Amino acid sequence: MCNENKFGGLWDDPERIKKYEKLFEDVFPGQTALDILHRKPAKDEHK
Amino acid sequence: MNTNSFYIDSCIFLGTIIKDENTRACKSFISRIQNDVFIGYISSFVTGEMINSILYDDNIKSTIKSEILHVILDMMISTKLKNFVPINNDMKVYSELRKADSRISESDIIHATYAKILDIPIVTTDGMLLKSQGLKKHIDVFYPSDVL
Repeated sequence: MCNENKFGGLWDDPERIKKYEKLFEDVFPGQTALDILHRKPAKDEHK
Repeated sequence: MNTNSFYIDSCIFLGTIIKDENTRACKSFISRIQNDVFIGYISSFVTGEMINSILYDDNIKSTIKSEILHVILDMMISTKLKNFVPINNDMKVYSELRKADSRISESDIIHATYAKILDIPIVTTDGMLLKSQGLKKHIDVFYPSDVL
């Protein structure tokens, strides 16, 4: 069951953003957005 | 070409929440969208790619998946976006771009196809897209901080 029930206005809600960041940090430790999407980044990445 | 409109890759949204080297650039870019400086376009493929990657990740507990999916939906609902829906014959552009770089995944070519149809650049942190010379012959591909 999903505990969070708020939808919308996320970018004006720093506390909710922090909560989400912590959730992602716990679930995807050390991973990047591209890792989550199962994309293989180029060796030397974007720049 | 619309100079303040951008097609937004999935990794930009996830990049705002996951802390990696691209987070600052992704957050700044999304704030420009929220402040009406930029117009941001997505399609069902952008949302779908994120949802798919969570739903079918065997390393995430099912109880946690719903929380992660909630975050993704909250991000999409909270961001001022225009949703692009292709029409008949639009997808002929796909074949053209597919030949441009065979190393790029199908979903990324779809993103690029929609950006080309809209005649706007795509914003991404994906090195494969950013470095593809073949793709750049057809569309502009930018790292988020390069357009700020």
